[in-house]
Amino acid sequence: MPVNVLEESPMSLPHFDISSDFSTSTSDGALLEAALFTVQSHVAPMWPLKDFVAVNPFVGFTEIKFLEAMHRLQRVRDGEMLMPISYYRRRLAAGELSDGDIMLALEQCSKEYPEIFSHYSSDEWQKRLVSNHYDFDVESSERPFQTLAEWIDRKRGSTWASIITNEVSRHCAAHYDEGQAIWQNPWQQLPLFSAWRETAMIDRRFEKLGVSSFREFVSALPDNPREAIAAMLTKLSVQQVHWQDFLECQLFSMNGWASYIKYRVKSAEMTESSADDLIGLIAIRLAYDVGLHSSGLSRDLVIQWPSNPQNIKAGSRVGVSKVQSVAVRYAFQVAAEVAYRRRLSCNLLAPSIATSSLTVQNKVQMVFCIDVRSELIRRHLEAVSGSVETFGFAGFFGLPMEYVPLGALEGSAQCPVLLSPSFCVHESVRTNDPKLSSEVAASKRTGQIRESVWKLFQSSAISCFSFVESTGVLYLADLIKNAWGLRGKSPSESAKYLPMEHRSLLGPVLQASGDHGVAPSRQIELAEGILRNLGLTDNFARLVAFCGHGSETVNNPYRAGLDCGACGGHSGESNARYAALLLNDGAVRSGLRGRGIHIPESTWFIPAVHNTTTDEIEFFDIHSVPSSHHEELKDLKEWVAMAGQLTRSERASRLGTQVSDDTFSRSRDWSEVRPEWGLAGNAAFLVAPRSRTKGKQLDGRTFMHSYDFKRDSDLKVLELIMTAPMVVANWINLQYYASTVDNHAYGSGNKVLHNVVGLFGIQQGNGGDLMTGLPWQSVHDGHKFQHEPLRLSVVIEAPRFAIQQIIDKHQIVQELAGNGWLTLLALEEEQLYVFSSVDGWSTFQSTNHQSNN
Amino acid sequence: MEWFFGGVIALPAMALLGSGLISSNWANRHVRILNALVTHITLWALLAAVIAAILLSTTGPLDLSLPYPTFLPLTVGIYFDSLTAVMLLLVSFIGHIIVRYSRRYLDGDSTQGRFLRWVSFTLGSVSMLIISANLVMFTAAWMMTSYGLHQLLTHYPDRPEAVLAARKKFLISRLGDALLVIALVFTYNKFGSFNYGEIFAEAQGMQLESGGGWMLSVIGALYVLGAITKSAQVPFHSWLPDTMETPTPVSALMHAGIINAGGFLVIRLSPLIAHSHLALDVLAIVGALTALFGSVVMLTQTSIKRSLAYSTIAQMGMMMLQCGLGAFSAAMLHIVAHSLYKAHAFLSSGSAVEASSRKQSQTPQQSTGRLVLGLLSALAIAGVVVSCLMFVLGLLSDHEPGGMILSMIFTLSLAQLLWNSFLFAQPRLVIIGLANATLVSVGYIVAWFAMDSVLSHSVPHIVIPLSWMDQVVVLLVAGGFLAVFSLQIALIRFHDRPMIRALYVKAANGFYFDIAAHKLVSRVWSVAPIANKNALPQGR
Repeated sequence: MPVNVLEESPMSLPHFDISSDFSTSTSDGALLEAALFTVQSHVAPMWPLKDFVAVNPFVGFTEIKFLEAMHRLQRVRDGEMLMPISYYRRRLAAGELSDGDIMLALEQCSKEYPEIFSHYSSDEWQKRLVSNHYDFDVESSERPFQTLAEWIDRKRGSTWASIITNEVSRHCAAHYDEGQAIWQNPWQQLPLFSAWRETAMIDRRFEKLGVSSFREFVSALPDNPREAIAAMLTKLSVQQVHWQDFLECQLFSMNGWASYIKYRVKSAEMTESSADDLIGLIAIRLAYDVGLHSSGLSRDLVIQWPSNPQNIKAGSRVGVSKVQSVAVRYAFQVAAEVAYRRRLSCNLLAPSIATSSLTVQNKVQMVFCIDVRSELIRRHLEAVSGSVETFGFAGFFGLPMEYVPLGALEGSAQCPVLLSPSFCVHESVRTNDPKLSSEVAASKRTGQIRESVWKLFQSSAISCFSFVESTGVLYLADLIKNAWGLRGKSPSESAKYLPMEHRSLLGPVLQASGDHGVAPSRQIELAEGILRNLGLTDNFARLVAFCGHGSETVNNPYRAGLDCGACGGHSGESNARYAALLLNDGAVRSGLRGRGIHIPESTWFIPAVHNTTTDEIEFFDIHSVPSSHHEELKDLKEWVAMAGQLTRSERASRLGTQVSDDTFSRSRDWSEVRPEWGLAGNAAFLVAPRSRTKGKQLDGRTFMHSYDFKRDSDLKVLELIMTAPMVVANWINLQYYASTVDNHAYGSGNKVLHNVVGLFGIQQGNGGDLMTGLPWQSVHDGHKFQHEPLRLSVVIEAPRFAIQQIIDKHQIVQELAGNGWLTLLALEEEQLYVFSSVDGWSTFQSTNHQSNN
Repeated sequence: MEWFFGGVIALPAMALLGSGLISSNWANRHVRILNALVTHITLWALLAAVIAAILLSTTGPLDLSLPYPTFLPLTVGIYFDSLTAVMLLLVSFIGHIIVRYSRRYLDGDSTQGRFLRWVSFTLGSVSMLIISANLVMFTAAWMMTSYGLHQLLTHYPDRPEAVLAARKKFLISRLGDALLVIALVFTYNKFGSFNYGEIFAEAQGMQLESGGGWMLSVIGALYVLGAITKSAQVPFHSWLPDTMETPTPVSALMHAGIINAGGFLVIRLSPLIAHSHLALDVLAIVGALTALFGSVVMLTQTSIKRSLAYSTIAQMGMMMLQCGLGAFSAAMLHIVAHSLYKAHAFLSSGSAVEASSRKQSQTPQQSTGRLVLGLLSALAIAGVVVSCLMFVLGLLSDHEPGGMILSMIFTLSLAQLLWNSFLFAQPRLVIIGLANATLVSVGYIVAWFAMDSVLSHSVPHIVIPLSWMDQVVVLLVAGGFLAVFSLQIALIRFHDRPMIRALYVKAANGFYFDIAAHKLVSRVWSVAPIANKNALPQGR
């Protein structure tokens, strides 16, 4: 391959130069504190499986630009943020990227990263992109920061790094275990580091593996993780300027656990004593490296170790070829995004088939979640019936609540993880008969205890033998049921242990009682918030449905990942039901009148849930619907059934089947690893009235939030949308992005090797780090990627000045849009404008010669 | 008729082995065909096993050998009695379930064809192992099973841990092979035949004459040692918890099918082994040790699959203990029940999160006095129930020390169940606890009687005179079980004591058995580090 050798110009990628920050500080303690603070802020949190939600794995780096973050990360950990060149070449060959796209992309690139792209003319770069003559293998350069174990392994062919990962993993799993083990770690109450110390002073494993007197070393460590880290840094004589990078490298070598602990530290339930657990994790990981170091196993190697203070060059420079390889792939990535926006803009600017909703009084209005999966069913529902108007709104319907199921001590947070619940609703038995109510509650409780007693019988040291002999044969029936798909729909968590006739009695109630529920004045506020943010303050239809969503899968640890992210990884049922309760309440309605919103007597709100696996829509609380509305409800049920059928047919081809009813069996098949595609394919977030998108084929790739600028004079709604749902969409988008570009680093690997640990996380195979992100099966169908990695394009139908106001006001929006974590577009008077932090708004150009496809 | 019967039994095994010979490359390229083929063959195999069981009940057992070659003591043949029938039904059923499961589970995996091919081969080998009429055929099938499993364990050959675990298993299996081959030589020397039928008849006679003789003891002990290596008994168990680097259905196949081979060998040869005090004592001691070791370690495991693996080790130990106590039909019941339970547990291991509900009301704190009172009453009730059952059913006998131990274990289990329901101090739950205990007892008795009557002709019912060694063994085993029971009870109050904490650390580490094995394997057959740890199946 002819390699064009560039002159040795300073072509290193810009990066965070920390040395300047540090030279000003004086004391070691303050320095270490600052380093630890930064390191912790770089870790993305990870929620436990039962509340699994999408997280942007680069959330700690959004304050710097995309490529800077990539460079910064690759100094301390393995992990790609762009697809391999072969992927882009294939797409180019398939004609998916036009010359125009590449030209526009290069223009954008040289604006974003002049320090890289100014080295060649645009034509030179174009040549490098369209022909593979300039491709070359990038020499695998040593990461400047490595753990000692990684270095020794690389030189000796040993496996210390994975041994240490397994060790730390074992300790963390035992420390945070939520009930898998019957005999729990006796030090669970202590902070992580102290607990580890107690265990490690007894545990002989590391010594048996060859690191002599490790227990002695551990007992000599201070009990405080900060002091321990300081002592160990001194022992390794790491220079102060490198502390942050070095510690970050240590922490990222256990990124899965770091992420989970970050969540634990953030979540409110955490006790004071454990607030330093993330620092504890750094100290633990460091201790194994120092243990290796002082065991004298590889003294000669330590001297050559790149992280050894003598070996770190001040500003590490990246090889020229590496920079060029990154540049070419980045330009391709931008081109792919440009190509998508080209098609999207044609679609959006095409005249809409929507008939004006003002002329015809709609029979039914239906509010869906902004989730990309809603796009399909909304489109089909509107096609089936002209008298349904649909809306897009965050699926928790603006109700940040904790919902506590009957008989449970704590509930689930039914709101985006960026918020925390501001009120608590308990599931109650909705009856006027106190005897029945207490009877239902008692049978629920008895059922729970019975199950826990039985589980203990099944898993105790002696009784497990008799359990197997007396009941093992009965599993024959379960095996048959599951293998031949004879398994019925399993009752929901709240319906468990209750007889059929009592299940329908359960639900949220409006009245406040004791420590839960909402005061009447707050109820009115909540109701007003829902309607104003939704933009539905007049023209109410006779029937208004709030449709949350949830998935239906079995034997799937990642089930919560398919549920509603806006509801914290749960079904939106409770939020929809509570929203309908609020808005049907007479007192709330009269309160709303006082605030200028008149809901007609003839309007009824009904809750529903869209099952995204089977595309059925189930309505709730039907018995309380007044008889005057039965006609509309009957029609609506027919329409959603038809729309569901159409949606299933559209999805069938993507699921690799011709049979649309296959979705039903998938939802109940215990061996199914791809029950549905979830949010795979997501690429854009559209903030506009439905009339803009109505009838347009958007392929289930767009988040859609209803927004009418004309109703939002003070920009309150826009501000909310850009700081909450847009950020959530960005998190989801970048999680899919990262899990696709490097599933090993940012995804959770192969589902068939998954092992649920501690009831909250996933390990792959025999052990190793906790897995983060999405499994390979969620983005790839075995033949090709089902998710196209594109950074989110946000299109807002509003004037530029309005959007600019929000950008200026909120740093988070500034960072996301300015540093290339998403692209912001304004749709103003049938013209698109694209935002750039360099030169503000510019007219969106679409390469016209290809705009027809 | 005999040949038809034989055909029904042998053809599915041959078909399975046959499709196991398809080349992996071809299989990977024609996954659809392979899927259909293996699914159908395993379904036919299951139907054939059912038909064979019906034929057995009408025509009686089958001992069929091909008439040639006549010049060698080696023949190919089928030995089909009720033990074979039960085992073949079990394996065919589990096999078909696993193949059905793998269809969707491994969909999109570029080596799904290879996977199915080796599943088929392994199932064929296990079937052959079960139906073989003689020890040579058995040993060949035993080795073939191990080879097939090795291929499945290295399904992702670029995962170093997978390769290491597979090699660990491979080396232990070769040790088992060696023991078996030595036993074969001794057996032929003693009996002049490899055929089960002839050996059993001969052994029966020997016992009448002289009580067996030392040679019989040695042969029995060799077979028992071979079985111990196969069925993950301490100290040969450490490969089992390390085999999670293989797709979940393989775990199910291993834990519900292949691991039983050792137990099957012992039960198959029970007419022979029952004459060997040495063999039985070894079985009882190793089995009890394994059972207790496995269940204590299981208590501390934090991941679902590892905890299931240690549970399998414990259950296999229990099964071997039952064999050692002469309770062969109870051991067979254990194999069947455990296989069904464990296959289900592995295949549904992804449900661990769903199954764990959110935090519920805690168990009420009770004073130590009430805890002890509850425990004593639970023990008393369980004791009375079990003694009554034994009395009514006529199982109470001084001649059966094994029965005493098994009923003691059952009593402790019932006490556990009752005590946990008593802790809540609610009449409703006490009644439910009693009802559960009754159901469990009935289930146990029914299952045991059913298995015992089915196997009545396959396993010996001999009352062995007790030697002093046997008595010591019985006492040790009983003491061990009591100690572990007390340990788990004591954890409630004393989990913070330094000794208990130290024990926790050891148990959580599996008492470090794996390190020795790991070192040994690395020395003999080291795994070269593999750069690409990214075991994502590449798209086809």
